[in-house]
Amino acid sequence: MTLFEFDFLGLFSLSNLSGIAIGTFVGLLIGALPGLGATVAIVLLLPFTYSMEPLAAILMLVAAYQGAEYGGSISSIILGIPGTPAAAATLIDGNALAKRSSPGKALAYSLAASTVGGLFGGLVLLFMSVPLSVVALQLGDPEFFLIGILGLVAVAGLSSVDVLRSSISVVLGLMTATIGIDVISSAHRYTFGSPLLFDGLHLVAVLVGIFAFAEMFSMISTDLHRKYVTDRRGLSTRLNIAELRRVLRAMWIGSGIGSVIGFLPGMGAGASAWFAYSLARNTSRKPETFGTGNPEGIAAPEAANNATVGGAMLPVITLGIPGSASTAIIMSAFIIHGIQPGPTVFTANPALVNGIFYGFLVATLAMFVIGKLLTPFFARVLVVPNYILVPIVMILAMVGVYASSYVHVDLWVALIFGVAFFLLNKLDFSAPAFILAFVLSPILEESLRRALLISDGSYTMFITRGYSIAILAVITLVVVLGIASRLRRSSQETARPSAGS
Amino acid sequence: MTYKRASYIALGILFVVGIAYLWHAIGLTDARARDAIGPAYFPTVLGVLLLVLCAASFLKTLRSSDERVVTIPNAGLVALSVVLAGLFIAAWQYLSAIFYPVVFALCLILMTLFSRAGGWKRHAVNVGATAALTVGIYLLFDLVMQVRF
Repeated sequence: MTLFEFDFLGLFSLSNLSGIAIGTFVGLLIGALPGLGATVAIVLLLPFTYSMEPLAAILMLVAAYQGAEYGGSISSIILGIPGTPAAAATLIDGNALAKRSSPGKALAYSLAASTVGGLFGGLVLLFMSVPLSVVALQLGDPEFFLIGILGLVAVAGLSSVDVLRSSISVVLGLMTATIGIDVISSAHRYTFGSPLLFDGLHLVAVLVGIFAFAEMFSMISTDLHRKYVTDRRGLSTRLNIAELRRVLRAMWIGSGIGSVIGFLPGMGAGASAWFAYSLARNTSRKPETFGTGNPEGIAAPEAANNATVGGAMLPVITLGIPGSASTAIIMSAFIIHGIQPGPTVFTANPALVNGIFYGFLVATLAMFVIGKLLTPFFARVLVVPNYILVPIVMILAMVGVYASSYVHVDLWVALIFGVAFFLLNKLDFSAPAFILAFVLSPILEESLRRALLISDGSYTMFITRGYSIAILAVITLVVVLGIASRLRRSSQETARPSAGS
Repeated sequence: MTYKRASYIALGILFVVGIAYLWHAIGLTDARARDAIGPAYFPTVLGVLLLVLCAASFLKTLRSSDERVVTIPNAGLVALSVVLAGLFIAAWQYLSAIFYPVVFALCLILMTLFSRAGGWKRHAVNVGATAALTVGIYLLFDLVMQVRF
């Protein structure tokens, strides 16, 4: 597949452009609302993708992902409340600059850095995916199984305060995905004879339950009457060349870190934003100005969290293995349209893959344009009270679930998962780990069983193949680093009270 | 309820789920004993893994000195929302002809419940937002996407 043999005019079709515009708008809107992030935005849009063309559907979700990453900074800067974990790093200098100078200036730095980060991530996706897919073509079932395990180990280790409960969440996700007819043997598993379960639990219903319903119940429980007040003045997002040059260094740092961290499973935009912020501060000539409204403290994390999107899409497209809940949902849009992402997608669907690459760049530019025009509007949306927002999101989520399958049982599934995860989240179980496992389960099971069938039941193929050994080494490294980090943290916690006494 | 007690209950439920899951998986093995790496293989591994992890988490909880209390603020309101959502789904499932009135009713009831006391202005805003949502669903889903409820 060559990158430049592509019908660029086709990319600018009405369906693709409207998909990008709708995705960007919804992403910015949902991202701007405190507590709702990229995952909720993508989940709410997923049911609409059924009736769309594959490219337009995927671009809409990618645009929502990009838009939500920038949108999260709006509430961080204006209200001092991070809309997403990734925007928490932006809050430090963003809110300080908004108070000291003007919110518009802080938002302008955020928008410019998000655009540069997004474009950088898009270029990484464009130029790295073909070489990576060449490597991926040499991988067999044992390697795909191990890469899936690597993703789950990383997510279980990093996404929750309790590793054991994250691991239980992973196993529950894998178990839930075994419901239905086994694709290899056609045996009925956990269907209890009901034809409604023959195809397994519907992904959209599970996703909406875990991310939209559980989040809404959480808002009913704690955030229903929180009032936000925004200053409607000074929201113009304009920067001059000198101001832009001042943050170039921070933007490159953020873009580089975001792309690399996005590629790694389990890390995500939150980690990349904090890494970028720390590096920008530690390498700055005036580190003492960080925290007082230094624009570099906005540019670095914002460039990083948007560059993460491109990096995170890389393993989805080239390996067919997502590293986070958001990319797992985007991958499900491929599957909904009968496309299996992975190294073979480059030869099977070259137009689609090229469309995603270039569409990604267009989506980033759309985020800049729509963000520039509508940031003042999104800032005002923040004052919509949650008691109005929650019923609207709940009903739209239910209508979306039904529209994706025309089956009422899916609504019950969504409600049950919503209640279950509203309670399980309080006990430190991990929803992202569950979802990633749910999406990865068929890949893991099929590759494991195929590998074992080929090797006549022998497990030695996992330790005798070069790539397998390398992946096993990485898994071991992740586990060892995770254990070391937890031991260090617990020794610091035990040392603190004794030092205090 | 304390965090520890809530954890025991959750882990206990998950343990029972694990046993039931494993039981079914073993049944699959019996039916297809000729194939060692058959449909039961993966579920059996997962079932055992869940039981082991639940037991480990149970022991960890037992040894911990965590005195946190798990609270659900507005628990009544959350429960009422779940019940109303359930009633909405049931009404939709069995009385699909009145889908739009049911959407309007659920949205208005939830907004009125959530907004607590309020003057006529607040009620007017709730009715306006509810009407806009209902019309929006009709326009987007029914007319544009041809979704029949």
